[in-house]
Amino acid sequence: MGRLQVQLQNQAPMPLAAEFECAAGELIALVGPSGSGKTSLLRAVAGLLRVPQLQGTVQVGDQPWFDSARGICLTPQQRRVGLVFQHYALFPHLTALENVAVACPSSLDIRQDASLRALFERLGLAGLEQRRPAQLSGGQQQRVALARALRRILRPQDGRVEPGGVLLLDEPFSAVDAPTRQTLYRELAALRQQVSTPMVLVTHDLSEARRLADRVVIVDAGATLQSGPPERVFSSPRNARVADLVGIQNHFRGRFRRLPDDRGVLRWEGQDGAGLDLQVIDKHRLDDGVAVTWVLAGEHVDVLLPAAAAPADDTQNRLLCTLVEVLALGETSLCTLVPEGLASEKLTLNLSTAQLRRLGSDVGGKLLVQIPRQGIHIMPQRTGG
Amino acid sequence: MQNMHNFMPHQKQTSKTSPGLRRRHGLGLLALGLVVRPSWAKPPVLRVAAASDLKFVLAQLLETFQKETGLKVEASYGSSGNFARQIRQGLPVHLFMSADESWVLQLAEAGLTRRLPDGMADRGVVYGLGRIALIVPAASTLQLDSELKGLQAEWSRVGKFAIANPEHAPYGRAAQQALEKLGLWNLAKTRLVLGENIAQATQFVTTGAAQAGITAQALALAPEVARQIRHILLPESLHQPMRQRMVLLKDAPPGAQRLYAYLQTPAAQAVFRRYGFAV
Amino acid sequence: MDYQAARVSLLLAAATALLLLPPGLWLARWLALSAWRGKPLVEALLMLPLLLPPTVIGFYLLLAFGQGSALGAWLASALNLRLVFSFEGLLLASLLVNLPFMVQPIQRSFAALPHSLREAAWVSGLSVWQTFWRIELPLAWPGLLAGVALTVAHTLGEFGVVLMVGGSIPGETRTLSVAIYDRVQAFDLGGAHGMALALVVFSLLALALVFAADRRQAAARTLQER
Repeated sequence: MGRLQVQLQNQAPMPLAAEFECAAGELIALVGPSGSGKTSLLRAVAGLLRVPQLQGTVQVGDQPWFDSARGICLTPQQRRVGLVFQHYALFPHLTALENVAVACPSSLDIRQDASLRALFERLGLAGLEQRRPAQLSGGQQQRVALARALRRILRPQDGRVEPGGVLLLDEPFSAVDAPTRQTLYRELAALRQQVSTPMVLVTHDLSEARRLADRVVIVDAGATLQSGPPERVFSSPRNARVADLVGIQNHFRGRFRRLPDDRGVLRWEGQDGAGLDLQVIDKHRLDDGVAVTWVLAGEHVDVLLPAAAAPADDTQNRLLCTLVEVLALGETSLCTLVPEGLASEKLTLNLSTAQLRRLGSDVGGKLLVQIPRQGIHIMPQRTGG
Repeated sequence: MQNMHNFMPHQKQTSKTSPGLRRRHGLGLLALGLVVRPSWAKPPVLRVAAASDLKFVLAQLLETFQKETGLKVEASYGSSGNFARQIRQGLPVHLFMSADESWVLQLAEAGLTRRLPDGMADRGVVYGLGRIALIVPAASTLQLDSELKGLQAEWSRVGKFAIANPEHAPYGRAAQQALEKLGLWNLAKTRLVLGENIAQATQFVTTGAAQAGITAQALALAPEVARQIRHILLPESLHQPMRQRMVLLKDAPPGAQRLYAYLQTPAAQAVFRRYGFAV
Repeated sequence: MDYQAARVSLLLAAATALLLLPPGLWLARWLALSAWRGKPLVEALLMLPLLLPPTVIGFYLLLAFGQGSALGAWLASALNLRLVFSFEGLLLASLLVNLPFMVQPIQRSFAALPHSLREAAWVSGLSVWQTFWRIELPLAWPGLLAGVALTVAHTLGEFGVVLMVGGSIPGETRTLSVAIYDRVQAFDLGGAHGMALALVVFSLLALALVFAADRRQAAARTLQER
């Protein structure tokens, strides 16, 4: 099976500086805001990007699909790519079966073909073969689009993956309603068990990426900024830009000072010149006294009542904060806390409503926020990362 | 005589062309057939280009001619100047009947008329003299007289005065000459509507779009027109004589010559006279 | 009712539509899909016959192909082809004048096809030609129908050019519109009424067809946007 390797550069008006890989059986998510170029990257892999000055390579296994240095550029027809479009792009004048079988040779009797029937059954579309897209629900249309893409990369005889195929999904769930989306997530996960081909998913939905992908690749302005497992990228962004893109809200400025024994002090600097000192780990990547930005990984943070707290040790940072706002969102509540001594800064934490109730705290009340040293992730201030 | 039978065994011809290809061939032939001149199957027809004032008299004459000779004639009517121009550009007519001889003479000079035995270009023959008439719609109460005095008295009621275009219609030119001679040209100029040819100018009056006009006497007398207007013949002295000339054009077939001769017979001339042409 | 003139008109309309359809289709699709910088110039040139008075077009055709011109004389002597005062001449004029009527509806219908449909066909393995034949054409055919209907209707009504270049030769260049004009000039309004009515009814039918086809196109489009 082929590993997908992509490395592309292009100048304005559509700048690209991207590099990522996807192994067979792996699902990576290209994540970024609208206009970040992630769809362009996907289209470049599919061979749909018509930019003469594009430089770089796209390789699947040992077969080059695109190599600007050697002048190789396979047409979309020549690439074994299954592409699921954002708005499905089903052919409205063909039945579901004809849509999926669109590239089959005309000698094939598509109604009798067992492999097509099996594909429809596998995707829960049995019985819908003769319907036109207009007669299908959104979720069903999406599945037909998926079937059409799979048809391209699966071997008809036994439904296994043809070597050299890639499955690409361009925001496939954005046009679908929430309950259907959950169903489709589960189906995609199930599909992954059976189909071991590189899968690239483009999405702007961070939670979707976190849910589905083995690895995420953060894309911004055509450049791939960071890639890695979702938990790591979301909790340890490489730089401030990535932190913003993955939606980290507890993102602050400070100054780092080195201490002996792999320890350090982070001075959390506020707007008004005030500051708080926090214990951090020294990963020996930063110089002493350098200005930094830092983020808080919400899952490491604990919230306690000041009176009930046990004595602290020096691996924990404890901040006395005032609860200034609570936004109830069903199971969780978004709480805004202002640390004592640093009135210009705000901590945003997602607490479960049950926990909040247990704390019995209300707006205006005081809470103790406990942050372990490893919960603070420091990034150098240069945005280059 | 030898029997030239071709003994072809009746084989079942397997079609080598797919249905789609055969359909395309058929369509192509159809298109070709459409493009080929639609007149490919017709017998030779004589073509006459005639001044508009001849509309009714010529229809009558041609009916007789066709019945007597069995030849087919098609006539087109329009302004003489227009026809002369088209003939220069290759209009395929055989006989040109102009309301004014200058157009015919110009064509002869250009070498477009038939060549006579002595090598000269045919300059045609005068078939009549054109006369003009003053007309008003039948329901109009305007007074008609040969000096247009009645019209002048109630000039405010004459919103539009119709004549044929003097630039290429002989009757229009004559109308202008008449108006100038009567000293009315400047007055009429502001209210003129010009017809493409004398028939159109007459239309303007019969439909009431124009309150008065000058047309060909031949048209004013025709029954179809006469019942819609009142008219008075205007004196010849008001304009230069309109010597109406007709001529055969280059390469006119023999049938056209017969028509040409027929139109000069006494019988034909009587018809001309009846329709108001001075012969 | 001048059946001969009606025949000439119908023949002219049918021939014009049939001959314009292939190049019109090619040009329309290219215009719909091309991003070439010079495209606005091509579109302007295409629209020109719509804006120029038919008499101007007829006039220049006469100059170019009439007896007086070198080209006209050569065509007549070498190919026995006369392009003024003949049906072929009318056909040529008609082809020039009707190009925008054929191209525009087709161009619109191809432009309205979501490009993602083409791309979906390509990544599914269909060649560009197969995509055109099996995906684009079945969805864009209302535009073709509209183009043909408009061309036919417009040709039937064409007057100015026919008058300039035709010479009103019965059975050859006297079309229905010219025949109506002749009837009026001959003070035979009854005859003119009949033919005019026939023209109006036919044109209405053609336009109704165009609008019905347009609705089908719109329905196919909205499905895609859902």
